[in-house]
Amino acid sequence: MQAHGLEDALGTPRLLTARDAGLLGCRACGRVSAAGTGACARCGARLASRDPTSLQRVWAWWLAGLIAYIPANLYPMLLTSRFGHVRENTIIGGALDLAHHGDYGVAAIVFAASVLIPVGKFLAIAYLALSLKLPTALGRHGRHRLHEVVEFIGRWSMIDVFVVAILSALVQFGFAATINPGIAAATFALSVAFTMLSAQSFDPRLIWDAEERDSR
Amino acid sequence: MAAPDPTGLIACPTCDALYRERRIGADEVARCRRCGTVLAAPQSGAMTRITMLAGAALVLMVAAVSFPFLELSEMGLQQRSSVVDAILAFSDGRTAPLSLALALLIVLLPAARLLALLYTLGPMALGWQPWRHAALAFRWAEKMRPWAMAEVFIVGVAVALVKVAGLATVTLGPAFWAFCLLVLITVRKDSIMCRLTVWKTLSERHAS
Amino acid sequence: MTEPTGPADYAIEERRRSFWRNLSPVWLVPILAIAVSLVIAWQAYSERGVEVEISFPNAAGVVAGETTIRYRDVAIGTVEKVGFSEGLSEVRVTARIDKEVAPYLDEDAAFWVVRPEVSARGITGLNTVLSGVYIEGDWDGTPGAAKVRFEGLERAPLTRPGRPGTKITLRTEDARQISAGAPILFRGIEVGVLEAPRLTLNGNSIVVDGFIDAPHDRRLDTATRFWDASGFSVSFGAGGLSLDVDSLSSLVSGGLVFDSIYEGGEPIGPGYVFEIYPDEATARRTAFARAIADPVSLSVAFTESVDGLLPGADVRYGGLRVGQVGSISARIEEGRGGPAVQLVAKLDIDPVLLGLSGSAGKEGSYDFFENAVAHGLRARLATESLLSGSLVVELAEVPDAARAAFDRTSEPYPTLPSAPSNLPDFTATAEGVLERINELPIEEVLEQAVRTMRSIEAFAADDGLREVPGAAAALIGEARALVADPETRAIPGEIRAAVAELRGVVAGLEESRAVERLSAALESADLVARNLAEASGQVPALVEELRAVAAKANSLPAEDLMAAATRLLDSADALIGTEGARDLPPALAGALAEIRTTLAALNAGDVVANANATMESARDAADSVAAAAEGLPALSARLEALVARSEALIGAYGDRSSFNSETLSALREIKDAARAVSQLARALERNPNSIILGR
Repeated sequence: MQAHGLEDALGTPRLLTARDAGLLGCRACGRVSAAGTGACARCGARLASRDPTSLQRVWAWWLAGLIAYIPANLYPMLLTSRFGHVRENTIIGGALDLAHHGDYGVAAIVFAASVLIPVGKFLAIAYLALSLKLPTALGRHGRHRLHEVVEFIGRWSMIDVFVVAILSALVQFGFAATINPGIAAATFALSVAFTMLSAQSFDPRLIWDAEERDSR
Repeated sequence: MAAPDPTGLIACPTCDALYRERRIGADEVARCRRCGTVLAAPQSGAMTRITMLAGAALVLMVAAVSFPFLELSEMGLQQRSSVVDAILAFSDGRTAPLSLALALLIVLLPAARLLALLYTLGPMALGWQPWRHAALAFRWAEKMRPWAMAEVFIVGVAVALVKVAGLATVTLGPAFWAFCLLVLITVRKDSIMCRLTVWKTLSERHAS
Repeated sequence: MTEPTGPADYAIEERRRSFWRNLSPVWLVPILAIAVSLVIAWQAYSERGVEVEISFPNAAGVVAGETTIRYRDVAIGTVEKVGFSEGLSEVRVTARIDKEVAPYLDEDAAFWVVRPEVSARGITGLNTVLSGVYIEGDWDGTPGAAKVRFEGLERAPLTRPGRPGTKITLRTEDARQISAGAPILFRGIEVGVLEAPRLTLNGNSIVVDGFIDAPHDRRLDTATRFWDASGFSVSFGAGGLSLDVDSLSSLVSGGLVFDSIYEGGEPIGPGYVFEIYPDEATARRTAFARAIADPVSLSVAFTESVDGLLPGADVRYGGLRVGQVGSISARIEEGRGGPAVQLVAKLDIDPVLLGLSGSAGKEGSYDFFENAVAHGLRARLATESLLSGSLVVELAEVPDAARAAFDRTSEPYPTLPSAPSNLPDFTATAEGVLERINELPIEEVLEQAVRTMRSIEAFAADDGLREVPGAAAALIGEARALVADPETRAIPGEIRAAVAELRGVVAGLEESRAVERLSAALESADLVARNLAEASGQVPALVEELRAVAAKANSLPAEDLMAAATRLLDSADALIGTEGARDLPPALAGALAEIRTTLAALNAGDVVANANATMESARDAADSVAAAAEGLPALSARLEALVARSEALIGAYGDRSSFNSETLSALREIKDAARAVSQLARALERNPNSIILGR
């Protein structure tokens, strides 16, 4: 971290990239191969100096994730049945319910995990993709960190789906109380998977390429 | 500009910066100068430890799947559920494909990843030649990494317990503890594993 | 400008790569997602239910988005909106009903809100305590002109649309004995149900709608009579003491009984109104009323006093009523001794009841009378019964009658000759009657009464009955266990079954009706007592004879009867005082409390609200019990008055014979009972909830 600070203060050192050197760096194992090599000799991964379809794939998965996210919010996530009284909880409805009952802490967690994080992810990915073409306020380090965060946090959105699964498996008391998953659980899981793929499709090297282009 | 000889060079996977390979000590960390990505952090005896941890994790996975996970009781009503029950929670109706996805995320992918790691690192830990397709197995293990969500599952369980705790008495089954241990071991294992070192060792052993 | 020196090299450019070649296949994923979403959205839109509007006076417990519409207990729709009609006069519930069901919602569709209801009559809708209220709908299975606006009913209709049977209308003067849901019985089997009584617009009579299930509705014709089956009847007449214990069971449940009282009634048309008669005897007495529409009118002149003969009095032939007295008037007749006042009674005779065919017509009837008078048929006055002073006209063959003829030409009606009655010879008759009483099988009657009492007592003392409250408590225990049973999917049904059994117990709490009926019964007993008093005042000589009878009765197992009655009371008291009975309300309260804590534990606010609503309705029930209790002091006062009157009556007989003392002690017990009733009334006044909630 300290090293970072120094570099930031001094300006990021200009470094030779594999592409500039006319070589191909492997993203899986770091091995450098001569240009024109199809697959990495060490790990067998497909090599490409820059993936030309990276941005396209980002946007495609992003859109798919967004579409899946809509029914995830419209349809019930949980079907709670208590003494024959069935209640349908949507994601936001569930969080509001918790807040109404005074469980502000849990409500905040649920709201953050199922609303703020997914929406934030959509915004972050869109921002990263757009920032390659448009001038941005955030520096390369900032965007690099953002990408790391998005990649890291993506899988944690699955918590919601797991909670639904556990509650459904656990609360099966017949007539007294039953929880069943709603269709939104599936579309939400799909949405999370799509955004994860979208984030993975993003080639972080593009951020640094843009820097070089800017500074040249 | 003529391309230099690629041998003895490595590229940062995040920003493509080119570096000459140097020997890194056991307690040292190699970091990209530009983006700060950790390139290599070898630890002594890491292979053996990873292998042992992966083996232990695999045993725990079997235990976590087969023992009762949680038990809920309220007013004399009891509900026992295993990890399999949680997976099968979606098996009815239109959410059925989600059951398969859950099985993959919680059990199958983590287990497959552990097996792949054992396959790759096991022989190396014992100082043997790597087995055939070890590189392929390791590459897949790395690819599966974001999709193996055992630790996410445990946090999900924690959230669910908070939700249910107010309503009923929850008893944690042996599988729950097995799963927690599994997660801890997986995190520890991933933290001591240095990809670059593994790849290097793999190619060196293979070549020899 | 330089001239071109030679051929130029053409420009070679890199081929522009096709846009499509560059496209990532991943784009298929969002396209597929959009397609699937559109298909689902279109499906959801096209399968959307039909919107209907139902108005209710109030919509307590109806929640938009949660309350379901059910048909035969299957959810067919959900309430979408709860609002008000213009002018805020009603609550308007907007709901979506499944497409497949919507075409059946036509004119006959009815909707009502099913709520938990605890009343003195029983507990209903208990399952909605937990599940919340729902709107139940009912309609027949034939699609009609679909409607989208409906008037909701305040409570469930007693008869569901589409139920096979016949709807009938009944008329009564007094609706105290009739309540909504009371059964209609045919020979003791429930074949129909009554709706709530309502006043006609002009307010001088009360109309009740009823419903007779098929196939029993085939029995309905103009010969059908309905009478009140509630209360027990005590009648004391020449035939002896008769206690109609059979109807004792309906003291609690109330209801109407019907039967065809003669053969050959005509089918009823629409708009036919049945009369409700107070008892079976009155109903059967109307047998001739059907032919009164086409009566044969005769006039009879009496030379003696007709004091006690009233219009409407019976005309009897051989003891069978064949008609009634139409009117009574006086006329001056020139006789041998100068003008004399004659009292002329107009008789309306039913020829059919006389056994004449209806087709014979008036002339045929006149022929019959002409012939009969020639053979000695005369009209004469007779007493209606031993104890009443009212008179009837008797057609009898008097062998030694003076010659007379049937004057079919006289105006306005043909004249039937009369014969002197044997009324003045009253004492002789009374003696004869008493002789007959002496010969009556009183022993057998009393023995039978004792046996009946004994069997009632045995019934009351029966361990099974005694165990009923315990069983109910056990039921609640089981119900409680059921809630705690993982196999509780069947619980609504079981609760309903339990409630059905409970209802039987709770029906015993139905103080209001029971009190009313008891008063009615006592009133009739009172009447008998009063008649007795009058009779004894009129005929003091009878007392001697009565004493003789009493002496005879003394030797009868009257003590047994009284003892049995006392024991009956005791065991009934014991039954009420049993631990089980006392435990029942706390057990019920305990169950409710338990459910409430459970609900609280489950953190379900609205469910608790429902439970509170139930409590509220229980409180309402308690209030109605309290209201009924207001009638209790009146009842005890009446009991006391009856006792006082009876004591005075018996005291008039003088000697404190053992019969008298037995009777007096019995009366004293009745007095005690009256006191207990008034105590109960006071207790109820103080805390009306005690009966329902047990605390």
